[in-house]
Amino acid sequence: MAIKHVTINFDRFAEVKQLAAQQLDDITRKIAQEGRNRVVLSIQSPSPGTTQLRYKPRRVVVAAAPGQTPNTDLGLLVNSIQVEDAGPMAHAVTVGAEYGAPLEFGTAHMEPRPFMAPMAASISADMDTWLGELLL
Amino acid sequence: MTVPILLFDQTLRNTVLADPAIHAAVSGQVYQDAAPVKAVPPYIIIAYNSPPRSIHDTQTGQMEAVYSVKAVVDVDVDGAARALEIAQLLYDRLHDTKPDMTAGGWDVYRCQHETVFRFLEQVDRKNYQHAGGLYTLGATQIVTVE
Repeated sequence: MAIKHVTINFDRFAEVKQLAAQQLDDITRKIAQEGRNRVVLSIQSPSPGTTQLRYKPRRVVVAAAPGQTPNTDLGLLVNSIQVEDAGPMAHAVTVGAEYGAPLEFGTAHMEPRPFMAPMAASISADMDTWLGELLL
Repeated sequence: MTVPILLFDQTLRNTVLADPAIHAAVSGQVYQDAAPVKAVPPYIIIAYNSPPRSIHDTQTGQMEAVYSVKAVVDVDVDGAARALEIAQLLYDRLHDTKPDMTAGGWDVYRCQHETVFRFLEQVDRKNYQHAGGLYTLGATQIVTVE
């Protein structure tokens, strides 16, 4: 006798959807944390620039040259960089320091010292490899 | 392999200045990296935000770089919204375009808007509104077939 039709009952789509969402949420968090690690490392790695004497507390710092990643001074910039939830399956690397945007994009008369865009570019370049590894 | 930084700089500058509305909005003031001390806002500043990187999965040379293109406005004279208006003009002019620029064996093949940004700069009791976007420029090396 020929089979006219087959009915398959599968009632776990909601469960699968939730698991996939959770997995993607974990992946975006890991990528954002890697981004944070990279940008912190880049700031803490010395960039060429000019030596300056600063006060309160008295210290010598190397102010990064234009176009270079800013150098760390008191650690305020680095400590203000966080990973935050940015909605379902999305995470953001944020900069809390007020002078983060002026450093990244420059001011009217100060050239930029970008640190976030280079991080985003390096993350983007590695994305295919990561997604392959993280989804295994 | 040469890196087409100069071509990218010129492409953005020429493309922006070729737009009559933008040209009029900033009186032709488009600066690279920072404005001269005596420049009077509003003006546009173009600066690269991510060094050029090579795209390896093609046979010909291909490079991309991320630039910030922003308007700077004196809030007390023109209002903060003016910066956003000029930023919108920049977006309309640059996003998803193929600027017709060729130099030094490179051809610019795309300009793509990536994200927006805005912030207020306060210096010497003056308020400057910055507003603009990050744009990715891509160039491909011209291959001559003999």
